[in-house]
Amino acid sequence: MNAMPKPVIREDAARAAEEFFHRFVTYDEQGYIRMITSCYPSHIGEILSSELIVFIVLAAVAAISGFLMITRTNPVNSALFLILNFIALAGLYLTLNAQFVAIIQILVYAGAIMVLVLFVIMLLNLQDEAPLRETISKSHYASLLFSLLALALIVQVIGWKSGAALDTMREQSPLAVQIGTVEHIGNTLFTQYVFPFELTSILLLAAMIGAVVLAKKRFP
Amino acid sequence: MIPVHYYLILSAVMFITGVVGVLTRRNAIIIFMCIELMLNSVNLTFVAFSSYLGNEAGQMFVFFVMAVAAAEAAVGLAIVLALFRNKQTVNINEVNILKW
Amino acid sequence: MYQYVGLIVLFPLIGLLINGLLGRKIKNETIVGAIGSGAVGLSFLLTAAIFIDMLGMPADGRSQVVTLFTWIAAGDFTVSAAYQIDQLSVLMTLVVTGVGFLIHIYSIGYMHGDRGFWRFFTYLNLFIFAMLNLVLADNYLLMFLGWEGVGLCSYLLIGFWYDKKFPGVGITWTGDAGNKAFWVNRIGDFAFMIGMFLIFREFGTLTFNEVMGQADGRTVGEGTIFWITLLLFIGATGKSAQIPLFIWLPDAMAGPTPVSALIHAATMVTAGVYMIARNAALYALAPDTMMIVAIVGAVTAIMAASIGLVQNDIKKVLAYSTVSQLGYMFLALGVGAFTAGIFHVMTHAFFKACLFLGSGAVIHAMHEEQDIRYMGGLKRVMPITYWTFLISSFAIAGFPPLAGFFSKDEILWFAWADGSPLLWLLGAGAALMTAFYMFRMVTLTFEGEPRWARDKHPHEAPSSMTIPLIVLAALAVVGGFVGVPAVLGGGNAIHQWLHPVFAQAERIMALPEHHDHATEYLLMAISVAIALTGFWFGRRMFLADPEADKRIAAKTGGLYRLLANKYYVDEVYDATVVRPILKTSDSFLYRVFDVRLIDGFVNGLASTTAWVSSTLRFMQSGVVQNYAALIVLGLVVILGLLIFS
Repeated sequence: MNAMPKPVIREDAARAAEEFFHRFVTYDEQGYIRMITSCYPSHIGEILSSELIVFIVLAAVAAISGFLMITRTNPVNSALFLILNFIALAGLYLTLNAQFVAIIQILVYAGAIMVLVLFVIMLLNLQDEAPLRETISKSHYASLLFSLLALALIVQVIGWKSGAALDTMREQSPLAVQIGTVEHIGNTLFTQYVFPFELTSILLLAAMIGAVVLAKKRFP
Repeated sequence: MIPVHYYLILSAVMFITGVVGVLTRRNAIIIFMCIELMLNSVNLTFVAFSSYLGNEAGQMFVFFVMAVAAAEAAVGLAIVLALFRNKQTVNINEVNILKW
Repeated sequence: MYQYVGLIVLFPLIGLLINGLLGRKIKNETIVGAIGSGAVGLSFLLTAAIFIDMLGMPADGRSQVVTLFTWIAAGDFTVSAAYQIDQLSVLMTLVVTGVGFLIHIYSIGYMHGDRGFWRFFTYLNLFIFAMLNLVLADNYLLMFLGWEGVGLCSYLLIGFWYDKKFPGVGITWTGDAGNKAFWVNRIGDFAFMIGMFLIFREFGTLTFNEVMGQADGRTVGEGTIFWITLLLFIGATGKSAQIPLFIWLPDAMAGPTPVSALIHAATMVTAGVYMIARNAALYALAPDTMMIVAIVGAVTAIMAASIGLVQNDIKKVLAYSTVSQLGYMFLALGVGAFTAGIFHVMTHAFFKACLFLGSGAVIHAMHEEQDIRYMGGLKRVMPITYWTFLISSFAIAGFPPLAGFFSKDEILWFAWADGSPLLWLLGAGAALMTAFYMFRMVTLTFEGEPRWARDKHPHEAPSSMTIPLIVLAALAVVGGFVGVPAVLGGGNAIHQWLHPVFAQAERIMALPEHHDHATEYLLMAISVAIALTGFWFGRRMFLADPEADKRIAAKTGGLYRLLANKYYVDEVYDATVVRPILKTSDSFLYRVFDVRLIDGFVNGLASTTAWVSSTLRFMQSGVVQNYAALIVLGLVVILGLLIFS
C-alpha cells in the first residue's frame, strides 16, 4: 500500500522536467526539435539566433575562465586563464560593435598588463599555493556567502527591479556601429574629452615614478 | 537580438567571481589579478550600455579605466615586489601589522 | 546732523581699539592720552553739533531714531542697532562726553608715570563707548548691552591697581572690591533681564517707542506693569547704588580717582535714573512702584548722608555723598518729577566730578594719603584746588545761586507738593547732613594748621589737572541757571526742553498744577537756612578743634559707632547672604554636586568609552580580507534595503 504514491511523484517530476525542457525548445509537427529558445523570464520562447549562440559561447568562456582563474593554485595558470577571460571579453566587445575597445583590450590588457604580471610571477619564482580546500577557513565561507548573496541581489536588480528603463534596451542602438569606430572615438577623445585625456598622462607619470621609487627603495 | 540584461548578468557574475577571489585567496598577485577581473566586468557594463544607448561616454570611460588599471598594475606590482623583498612572501595573511 | 549719530559712538571705539591694540607699543604717554581724550572730545563736539541742530527744530520733531543695522532677527523678534536721539538722550550724551572729556584730560596728569597708562585710557574709552550705547539705545536690549558694558568697565577700573591692598569687610585687594561691585550689580542686572523678558511677553517688542506707544492703552495700576517696573527698579538700585544694593559703591573707591569721578559719581551710577526716566510712561502706570522708588530714594539719601558724617577717608565721604545724592534723584523720580531728577543728574555730574577730581589732586599732593585727619592747611599750597573744591561744596550743599540749589530745591519742592511732607522731611534732613559733612571735610582738609608729616611737600597739581577742575567748578556755578524755577522769575529752560519726553507720563499721572507760591518760597527759605546751618556747624566745630570727632564719639557712643561702621550693613549681608552661599557652594555644590555628580559622570563616560574600545579593538584583526568581506556585507545590506523596502 505504501508503494502507491511513489510512481505518482515520479510522474509529477517527469512532467515538471518535461515542462521545464519545453521552455527551451519548440517542436515541429513530426515532434523533432525545431529550434532552441531563450529561457530568460521575460523572453521565453524567443528564437535562439546566431548572435545569441556567439554570446553564450563567449560568455561561457569568460565566466568559466574567471572561475578557473580564482581556483588555480599555480599563479601562472591563473594568469593564463585571466588572459583567456580577457580575450573572451574582447570578443564580447566585438558583438557590441566596440571595435576599438576590443583591440585595446587585447593590446593593453592581454598584451601589456598581463605580461607584466607574468613577468613578476616568474621573477619571484613562487611556489604553488596549498590547495584552496586546505587553506579555506570559516571566515572564507562567510565571505563566500556574502558574495553569493550580493550576486543574487544584483541579479534581482537587473532582472526584476530595474523597472522600464532596461526593458527598452532590447536591442543595440543604430548608432552603435558608428560609435565604436576608431575614427569616432579619436574625434571624441581629442575634442570633448581632451582635458581628462591629458590628466591621464599625469596619472601615468605619477604611477611610473611611484613604481620606480617603490621597486628601487631598500626598506630597513 | 540580445537584450542588455544578458551582458549585465554576465558582468555581475564576473564581478562576484573577482570578489570571491579577493576574499579567499592569499597570494597577493592573484588578488591583484582578481581586481583586474572586477575592473573588466565593469568595463563590460560600460561598453554594453554605450552600445545600447548609442552614447560614446561609456567607451570613453573604458579608456580611462584602462589607464587607471595600467597605473595600478605598475604601482601594485611594485608594492608586491617590495613586499617580497622584505618578507620573502606574498602571502597577505602574514602582512597583518595593521591592527591593534 | 542726526545721521552722524553713529560717529559719536564710533570715536571712542576707535580710540579704544588704537590704545588697546597698540598702546603697549606706543611708549609716549602724550600720544596715548591725546588719542584717548581726543576720541571723546570729538564725540562731544559732534554731540554739541547735533544739540545745536536740535535747537533749531520744532519741539515735536526733535525725537528721531537712526537705525544703523539689524542686530538680531529671529522670526517676529527683531532688534536693531538703532539710536534714539531726543531731548533726554542728547542731554545725557552731552554730560557723558563733556564730563568724560574733562576727566580724560585730568587723567593725563593724574595717571602720569603709571605703568598701566595705556590700559587705563583703553578702559576709559571702552566705558564711554558702553555708556553712549546705554543712553542712546532705542531698545532695551541695546541698552542692556551698554548697561553690562559699563558694569564690566567699572569692574576693570575698580581693580585697576590689582596689586594694591584695600581693606574692607570680606575684601583684601582692590580686585576683591571689583568683584564685589560686579556681583552686587549682577543681582540688579538679573532683575533687569527678567523685567526685559516680561516687557517682551507683555508688549511683544523691545523698542522704547513701541512700548511707550502701547502704554497709553493700559490702565493705571496693572499687575504686570507693577512687576515690570519693580524689576527694572531693582536693576536700577544695583547700578545706581540704592538700598538694598548700595554696598558696592563705597568700596568702588579702590579704583583710581578719575574713575571714581567719571564712573562712580558723574555718569554710570546715574544710568538707573536715566533708565527710569526713559520708562517714565510705564512708571506712571504703576503708582505703587513710584511710591517704592520715592521711599527707597529718600531713605537712601538720609541713610548714606548719615554715614558720610563720620567717615575719615576723603573718597569714602564723597562716595556716601554720591549714594545720598542718587537717593535724591530717585526721590524725584518717585514723586513724578522726572525733569527734576534729570536736572539733578546733570548738576550733580558737574559738582561731584569736580569734588572727586579735587580730592584726587589732594591725594596726589599728599602722596596717596586719603585720611582727612592727617591733612589740613592745604589752602595755602594748592589754592586752585581749594577754591574749586569750595565752590563745588557750596553747590552740593545747596547755596543759592549755585547749581545744586536749583536742582535740589526743585526735588524737595516736588517731594512736598506731589509726595508727602514726610518725604520732604527725609530729604531736608539729608540736606542738612550734606552741608555738615561737606564743610567738615573742607575744613579738615584745607583749613587750619597742617597735620601731615614733615617730610611731605604738597604742591599744586599740574595744569592738565587744574583746568578740568576750573571748568567743572564754573559749570557748578552756572549749570543751575538752565533750571531757575518760575517763582524766582526764571524760565525753567530744562523743564521746557524735556517736556516733550515726559509729556506722556505727566498726562497719565495727571498731577495737579501748583500755584501755592507762598509755600514754595517758604520751603526755599528753609533749604537755604538748612544749608547755612550745616555750613556753620561743620566749619565752626572743626576749625576750632580738628579732633571734634572724638568728643562727639565720646558723647554719643553707640550711635557714633553705628554710623562709623555703616549700620553694619556689610556685616549683615556677609552673615546672611555671602557666608551661607559660600558654605553651600563648598559643602554641597562643590563636594557633592561637582565632584561626585558632574565629575563622576564625566569620568564614568571616559572609563566606559575606554572599556568599550579596549573590547572592540580586537575586531581590528589586521587581515585585510576580513575588512573587504565586511565591505561586501555592507553592499549586501544596502542592496537589500534598497530592494526590499
